Amino acid sequence: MPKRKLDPLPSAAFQILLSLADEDRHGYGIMRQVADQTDGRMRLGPGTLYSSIQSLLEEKFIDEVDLGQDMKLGQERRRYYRLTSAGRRLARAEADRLADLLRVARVKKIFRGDYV
Amino acid sequence: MSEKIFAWLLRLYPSHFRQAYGDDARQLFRDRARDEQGFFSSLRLWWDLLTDSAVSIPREHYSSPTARIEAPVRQCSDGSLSFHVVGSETPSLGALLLGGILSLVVLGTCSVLISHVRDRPSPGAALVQPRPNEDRSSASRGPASNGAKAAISESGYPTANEPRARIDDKFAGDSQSRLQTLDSPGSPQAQASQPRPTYTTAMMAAAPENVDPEQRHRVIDRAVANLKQYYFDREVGKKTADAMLAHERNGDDKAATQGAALAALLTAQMRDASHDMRLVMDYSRAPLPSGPPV
Repeated sequence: MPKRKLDPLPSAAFQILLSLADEDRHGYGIMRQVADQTDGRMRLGPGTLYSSIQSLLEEKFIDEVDLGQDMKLGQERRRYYRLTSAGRRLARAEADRLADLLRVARVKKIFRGDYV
Repeated sequence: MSEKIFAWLLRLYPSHFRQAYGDDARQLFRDRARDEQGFFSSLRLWWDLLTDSAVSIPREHYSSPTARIEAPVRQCSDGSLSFHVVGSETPSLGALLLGGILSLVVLGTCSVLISHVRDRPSPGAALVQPRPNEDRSSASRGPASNGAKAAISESGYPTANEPRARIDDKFAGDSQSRLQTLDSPGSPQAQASQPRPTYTTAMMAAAPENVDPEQRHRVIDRAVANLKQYYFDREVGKKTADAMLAHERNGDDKAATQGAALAALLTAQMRDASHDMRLVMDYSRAPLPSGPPV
């Protein structure tokens, strides 16, 4: 039985899925979006970013699309990535799991009063 | 300069990763370096790169076998031979331990078998025993007048009353005589105590057709020596040799003045002492072939 790299889903992979939820992005775009959605706490390096992208591609949670030249960042040809329906379901399932955890944490009164 | 350093850092990644995402990673570095300028931004950029490399390089190397073995699988479509992957997991610690133990067992078994085979003498080595050099020299020093050859060897089915004696008168000029003893594996005693036959050969001084006392003594002496040295049952060999010497001391052999007669007499003496009907003294005027009888 081959070991599944995305089971459980790593945090970096989940953040990549979330970054692609609304828009197709290339690698640097994903990195910036992840940094934005985590308030700069997570800055994906090239090793983590592209190994996570490779795993998501292998499991067909994202697709590679070639949108040609990026007009904002010059004339280089870039590989863009798009969230697949399977990837969206995976992201939703992970979000539900985290929501359940959050619910349990609330029941257990883990949070301070501001969050309850 | 910074990009060169990053390119060097990128070389630490496995080749499959560099081939697939090397250009993209360099592009990402260029993008970040362009957007994050200034001392602290650059410091944070390199901090991110180094910490990311410290984590992701070992991880990529750990998972690289999967990537390596995917390539041949993808080549199946062109009809070429390829290896199919049945599992991408690295062997577990238990499997590695089991494999190591099995390897040690196989290696140990092979070494034991090899040493066992090496210790076993080959059939050729068992049949040919070294002959003392002095025997050859004594043979060469022997008289050359009448060729005679005496041998103790296994005959087919000899009896005490029918000693196997062979006289070949055609070769009168031979100067060499030879004494041979053979212990056959066919004997029940031999099979019980020593399954492999032992052949011994000793060169004797020439024994003419008319045997004088000195030549008779030499033949008996050599037969005694061979019996003591090569007969499979040391005790019986010694007993037989002692009996032959006792017969010689008593003068029982004096009547045998011909080679054939002496051979028959010595055969009877050996069989009488050893009860081994396979022992025979063979006489021949023609030279026996060198080496033990087969």
